[in-house]
Amino acid sequence: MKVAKNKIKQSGRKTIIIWTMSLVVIMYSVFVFFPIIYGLSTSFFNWNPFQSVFKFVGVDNYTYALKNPLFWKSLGNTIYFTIGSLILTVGFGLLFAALIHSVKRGTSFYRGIYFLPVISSMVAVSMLWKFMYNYDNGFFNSVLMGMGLSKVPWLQNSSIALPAIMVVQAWKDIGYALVLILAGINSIDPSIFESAEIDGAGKFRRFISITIPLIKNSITILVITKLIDYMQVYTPIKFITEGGPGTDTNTMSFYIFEEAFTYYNFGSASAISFILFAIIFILSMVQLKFNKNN
Amino acid sequence: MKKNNSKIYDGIVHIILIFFAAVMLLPFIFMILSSFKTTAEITKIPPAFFPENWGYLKNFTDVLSKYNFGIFFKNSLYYAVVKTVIVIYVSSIVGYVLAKFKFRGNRVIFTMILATMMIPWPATLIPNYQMMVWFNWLGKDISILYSAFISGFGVFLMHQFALGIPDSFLEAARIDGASEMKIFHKIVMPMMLNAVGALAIFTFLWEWDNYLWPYLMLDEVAKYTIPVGLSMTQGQFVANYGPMFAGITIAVIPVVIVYLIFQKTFIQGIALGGEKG
Repeated sequence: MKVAKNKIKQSGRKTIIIWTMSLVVIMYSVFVFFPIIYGLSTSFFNWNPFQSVFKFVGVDNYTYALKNPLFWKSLGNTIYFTIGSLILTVGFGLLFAALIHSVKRGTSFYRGIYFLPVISSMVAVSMLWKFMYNYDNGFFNSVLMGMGLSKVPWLQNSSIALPAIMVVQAWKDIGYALVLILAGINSIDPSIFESAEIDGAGKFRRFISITIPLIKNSITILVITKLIDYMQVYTPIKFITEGGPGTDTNTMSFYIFEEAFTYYNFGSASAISFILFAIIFILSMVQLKFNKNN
Repeated sequence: MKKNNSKIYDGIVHIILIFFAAVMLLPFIFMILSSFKTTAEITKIPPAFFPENWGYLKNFTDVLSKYNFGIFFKNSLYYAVVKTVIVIYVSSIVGYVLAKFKFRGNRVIFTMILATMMIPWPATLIPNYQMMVWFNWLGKDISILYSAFISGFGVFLMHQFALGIPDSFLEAARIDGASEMKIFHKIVMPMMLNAVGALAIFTFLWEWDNYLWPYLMLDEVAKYTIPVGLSMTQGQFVANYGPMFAGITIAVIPVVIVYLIFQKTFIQGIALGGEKG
């Protein structure tokens, strides 16, 4: 009797494992692993998803990409955008987290407001900022004119346009950084701060030599996730500048998308996307390794 | 003396924080104010900060009827809700099984699911598009919804939560003769309610904000979501800023309201996601 009941229990366990894991294996094989292998193999062909014609070209798509100045331009813009946005997002996230933590009162009020852009739709937010950057009657130039200053061609000037988009990206993500960092700070044992205070360490000193080393994990997670996000930036580029002026805000994802869905060079687009994949993969491995060694 | 100093310090910090809070809010304020202005008012030089007539609602009525935003809103809601329900259920049960059952391949499967979170979308965009062509899914709901079954973040989040459920609860239920599915539905799910809330909100938001994939998949106006609708009508908006601001406001305000109601769950979810290191 007891044996039989055990058997039933065992079989129930087996059923749930088999069902859920079959679902996982099938879904991930079909929709994740197959596309990666397929994408990698088709990067050696010239092809088009609407006509199943494949022409093997070897590594031509890769050499074509590497010889194309636009590839290097978009790679450079992507790296510039990623570093700039990371510095702004993590820097301001740290600053605001430190300030909010140091006063104790009003935490949820400030966090609540700073977090609002995080939940807002990127398409809507990009259109909004695009208008705020508008040369003739946008918000920023109206303010400048109101102060008697001259207008700035925010999105028409090569050296201002990409930083202008970094500001939008940072504005959207600071709240996310802030919440992660604050959670890290709150998980620190308060007695550590107290003993440092007794030893005479000031607020700034305590933040640099106690808080930052103790929240290194939160910062690493933040940097890795945002690094991966920023290397793939598409929506604000598409909606604010469309890669312009010229190709000065053209990023890798924007380039891949145009190459595939505007020019129908799917082979070349696949090749570029795997170069991007490799870069992101190496960067996150380096970052993880660096964190472990420390 | 020391107390006075710290009071002054607190005051200064609060002033700085309030200043930046205003900076963060400014684009939203600008957006809402502009949605009550006529297009002529918006493009006037120099523009006025406040609208002339607060009762001017034509932008909203126009954007809902003429620009189909009523339909877009309904579609966005439909995709986001259906996807959220699927993600929650699939992620909960998969996360729970991976966390609480020992079987061969467990570790490998979990690691693979985590690894997929690192794959950049441009790498799979084109092959996925090709697959949708093969399956003849272009323009169909399923092309948007299928990815709910492969939420790496969802499985990860629920896995972390399921680890915290004591085995003794599950064993006790088993001794009472409860089936595994009953245990999952009646014991595990209720215990993971906090995580379910966080995951629900994230999934809903991502779907509400999702632009590129629906833009590639949806081929008729009647199926557009708000981001796709915004992008497709951008050309028409150039001469018509008033409705554009109303459209943007409609895209942003509903999630802000949801956020204000569930703020605590949101913050907990993010903080939890950050502790995975």
